[in-house]
Amino acid sequence: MTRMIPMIGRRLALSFVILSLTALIVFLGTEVLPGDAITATIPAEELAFYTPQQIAEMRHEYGLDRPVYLRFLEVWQRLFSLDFGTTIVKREPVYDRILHPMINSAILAGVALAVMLAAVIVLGVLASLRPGGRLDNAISGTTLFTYSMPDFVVSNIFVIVFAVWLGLSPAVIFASTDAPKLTILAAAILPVVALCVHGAAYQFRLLRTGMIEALNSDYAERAQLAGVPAWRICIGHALPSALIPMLNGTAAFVAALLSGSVVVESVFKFPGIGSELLRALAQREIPIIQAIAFLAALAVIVANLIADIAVLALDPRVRTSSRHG
Amino acid sequence: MVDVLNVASETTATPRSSTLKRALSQPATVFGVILVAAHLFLALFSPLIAPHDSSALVGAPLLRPSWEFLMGTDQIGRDYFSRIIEGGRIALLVSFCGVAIALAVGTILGVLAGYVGGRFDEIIMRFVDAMMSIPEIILIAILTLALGKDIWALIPVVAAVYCWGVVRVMRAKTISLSTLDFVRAAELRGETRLAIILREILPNLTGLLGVELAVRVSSAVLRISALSFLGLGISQPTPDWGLMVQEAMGVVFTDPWFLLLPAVMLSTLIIGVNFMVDGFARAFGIASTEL
Repeated sequence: MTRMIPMIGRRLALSFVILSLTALIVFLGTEVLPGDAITATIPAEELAFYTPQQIAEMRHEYGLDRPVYLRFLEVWQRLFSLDFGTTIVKREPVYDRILHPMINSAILAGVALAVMLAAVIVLGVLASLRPGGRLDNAISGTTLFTYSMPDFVVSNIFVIVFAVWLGLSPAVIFASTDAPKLTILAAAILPVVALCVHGAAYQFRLLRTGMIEALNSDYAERAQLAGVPAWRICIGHALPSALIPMLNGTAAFVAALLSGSVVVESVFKFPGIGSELLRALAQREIPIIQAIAFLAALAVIVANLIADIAVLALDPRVRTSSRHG
Repeated sequence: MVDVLNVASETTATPRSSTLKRALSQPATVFGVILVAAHLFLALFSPLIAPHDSSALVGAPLLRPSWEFLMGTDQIGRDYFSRIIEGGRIALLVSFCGVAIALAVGTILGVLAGYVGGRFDEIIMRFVDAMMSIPEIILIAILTLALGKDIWALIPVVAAVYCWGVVRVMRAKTISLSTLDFVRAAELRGETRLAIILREILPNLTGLLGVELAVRVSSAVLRISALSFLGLGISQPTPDWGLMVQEAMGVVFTDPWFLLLPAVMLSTLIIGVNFMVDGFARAFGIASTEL
């Protein structure tokens, strides 16, 4: 256990480096490439009404006339202190605009993640009881199929089926961003299922591969010869090591989950950070876009850090090797 | 989603033709190949097949299907059949060009990082980690904001987004290749690093490149249509399935098939690619967990 602490420290330091690079990418993408925040935010037709002097004043006010590296250091410092400044047009604090959408999206993604993991573990164990058997083929075929369904298509089909044909629920549940969290939870039911259809399929494929590998290993065979029942080998011996490839894919998976929820939120009009991002893109509010992109990357990196530590705890081999891929 | 370490097995001893046969003996793989072939055919020749100009107003809005308009007309009176069969062209073209650039750049960086290693590897990989921790759709949105909404500007955007996953996969494969005997032998013969990369490593990456091309093009098509659906990608009057799903949301209660048809087209393309790649990857002994 004592050897794990320096390793965790190393991961933390690496995560900090990666997050700084992310901030640099976001800064380059939003502020340097297209000119600057002022010309990006104000539409071209309105820009014509400003005198060059006014624009220069606004530039100065936002510090856009300073060298790029100073501006980056400032953005970096702002993002890392989680103080995201004010919006350009209305001058409201970015923090206020993204706080509730962020909590709502965290509820959505968190519930989706929990449902997904439960479903994936059940399906993965069932499928690996007899690899190549009828149940395995049925589950594997279905997941390859659902994995191929675009998330906005799945969401729209849900709207058609549940709202139009069955009339069970309203097509979209209108909830304001600061609605009580129980209302948000109710509004999240269909989006959660829509996210799971795609995401669970991906995780299932990783888990199944790991399970089959683990069940073919020497120790599983030994346990079998020792008379341990098949289901106990599956759950007690194979599952922990089969979780490792799944956990190694956490960064990619959480990133995909966030990508997916931007789309799904937009279909169901869910008042989350995805909808806020689209609004910010339409208004070209650079500070909000920066904040959301940075927070999304932060979520991915933190999730990956937790998964890394979980892998260290699960796999005694990793604890001794220090190679980081 | 394609960036999980690709643990490829050693090259199989069986000749290529029998591996192909084995791949095509699976009905699911054949199903995938047929879907992909049909989609490629449409992408290449749909303007010749389409009975009407897909972006011209040719009839009254929302006409029922008839011999003249096989799938009726949309809300503003464009021929829906022509729009459906042309709706994947631009997305596929943009994805293909973008992914081709991503593969070229990604392979070079990945092979160098994997074979040269050291400080260079460390720097490249941390940059890859950073790029890949920004969710794809947010990254694409930022880049389209920077480069403009022009269709051709989407090509460098796709390249910039998909390059990093390729780096990771190619680096992993290069590391596993460079421990094998034939690379060791070349090193002992005193060949230069460049010669080893060109003659020993690159030829062994071709199968993986094929898989990467198919998987990433389909993933890029998916992202571009999602983007068009959100109003950030391909814009009117170009026919695009994602855009058509978006337009159809307005009439979903009266004419749900406007939504279902482009959705089916898009899904069949992605399903086709995934079934095809899954089958070939299995037959060629490439682990398909990265699908």
